[in-house]
Amino acid sequence: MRFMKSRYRNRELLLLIFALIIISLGFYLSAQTTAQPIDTALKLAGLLATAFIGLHIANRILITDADPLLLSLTAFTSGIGLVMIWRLKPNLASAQSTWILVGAVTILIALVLARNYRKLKEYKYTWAIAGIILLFAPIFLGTERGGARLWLDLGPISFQPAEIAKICFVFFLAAYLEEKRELLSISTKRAFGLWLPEPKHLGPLAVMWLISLIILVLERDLGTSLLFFGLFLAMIYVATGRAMYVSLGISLFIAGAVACYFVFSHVQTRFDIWLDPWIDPAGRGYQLIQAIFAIGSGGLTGTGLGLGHPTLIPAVQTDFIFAAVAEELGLLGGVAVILAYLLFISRGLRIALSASDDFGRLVATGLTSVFALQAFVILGGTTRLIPLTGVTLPYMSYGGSSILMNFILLALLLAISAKRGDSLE
Amino acid sequence: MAFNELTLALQITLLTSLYLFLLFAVRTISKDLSAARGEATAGGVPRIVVVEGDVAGGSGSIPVVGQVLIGRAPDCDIILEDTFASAHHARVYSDDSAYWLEDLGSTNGTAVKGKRIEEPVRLPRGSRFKIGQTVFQFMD
Repeated sequence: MRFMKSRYRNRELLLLIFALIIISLGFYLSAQTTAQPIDTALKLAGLLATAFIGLHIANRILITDADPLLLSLTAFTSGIGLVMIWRLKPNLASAQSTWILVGAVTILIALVLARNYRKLKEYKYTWAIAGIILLFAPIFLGTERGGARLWLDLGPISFQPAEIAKICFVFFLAAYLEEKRELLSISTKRAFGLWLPEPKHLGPLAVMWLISLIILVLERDLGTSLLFFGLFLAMIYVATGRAMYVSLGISLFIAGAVACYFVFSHVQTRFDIWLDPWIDPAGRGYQLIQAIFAIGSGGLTGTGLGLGHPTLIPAVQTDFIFAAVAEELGLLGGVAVILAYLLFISRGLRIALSASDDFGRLVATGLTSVFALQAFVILGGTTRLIPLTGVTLPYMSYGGSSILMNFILLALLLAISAKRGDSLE
Repeated sequence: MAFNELTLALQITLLTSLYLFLLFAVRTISKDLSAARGEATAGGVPRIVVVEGDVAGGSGSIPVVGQVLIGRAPDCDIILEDTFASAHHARVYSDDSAYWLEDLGSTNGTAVKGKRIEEPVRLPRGSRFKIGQTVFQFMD
């Protein structure tokens, strides 16, 4: 029996149990300090454990050779997220735990479907069209929240279609670049000893640049715009090995962003608040200032879980959840969370390196880049390293779309990692 | 409830266990990486790589499966265009335990570490040998 022998799965189980113990400890401490009923904590921890142990069993049966760390790290980060959400907004925690459970079921379905992920490249242009429709639907049908037009309301459910569009674009770009990589990396043009792409191959770059500018201008969303363009640059660089695409792309993006700074007031506000949040401490700078106070008051070891005042930060359960972690668990807790993300990203890149086919390699690279960029954009925004742009912190932030899409991302990485080596197929 | 000994102890335990988890995860990664390295050495097919000189057919890396014949004759696995090489100059082959290099009675000989070999010598991984103007390395 193969699945009795798997070292990988046994290590995954060990790490998973360890993570669940830490999460339970967090729930217990939180229940002590915030005087919330312990049976709610038990219920939430139980739901979390059910979801992840269920996924672990599914991994044993479906993808024995998959990476042992991804699932455990996801349990670790989404567990800390759930504890924080329960502590910050107790009435949102059961919704979040339900989303995690729904996410687990989605992973199951995705794993069964994605075992032959190579079939996905046959629907290249379907992915492109679906991605573009999803990305631009909110411009016509969306509702505006917090200055950005990102949400689509479908009766009782509202979701961010850009989250799904990300994965569609990864599929399309992986299939497209797998076909065209040779072509895109050949050129006879040189200037000052530098390699330059053929002008006719700049089409894709121009199209992606336009798409990101449209998102920036019409949806007023700097974060998503940055994610899509960054994803494209990472993938074209990996496919062609030409740094010139990245330099050109970054210059173009900076040019576009600078132009937007002068034309659009909301971009200007974001940038000015980043440089000096004190120009409007009670208004536009309020959120960032509260976050900085929260992080500062955490110190090295934190105020203690449940003993700080992170609820003073607006939208703390979504974009600013890291500030709450840094306040109550301190620098140590914050760094632990960042390390968990770094480990996840390093595993993602390792999966890309050891993938047995180019399409899998490119999909794994794309998914890992979009994950890394998203974590960087929001962690950097929260800590005032870069101008704040509203994206969610994968696995930790409150929100159904984000949880579901990042769980699908996890399922795909797992499926690709299980395929390594068997190049006979 | 306020800050007390219990919550302090729990907070310290929580922070410590966060790092223990990460440490454990990193150890799993390093074990996995060293295992992958072990598999590559044990399971991969060793190859003969041309370090110096040109070989007909372009490819500078030939997998050693069964035996590899080196020489000027067209039926060789590695064909040399070198007047110092004989038609069937030398071969690399494996028995149950090791890989061997044997000179097939060539005119100008096969050299390992600058010395002409008289009988089959064992080829450890990474070792080099010279035929005419061409230097080969036996590696993973």
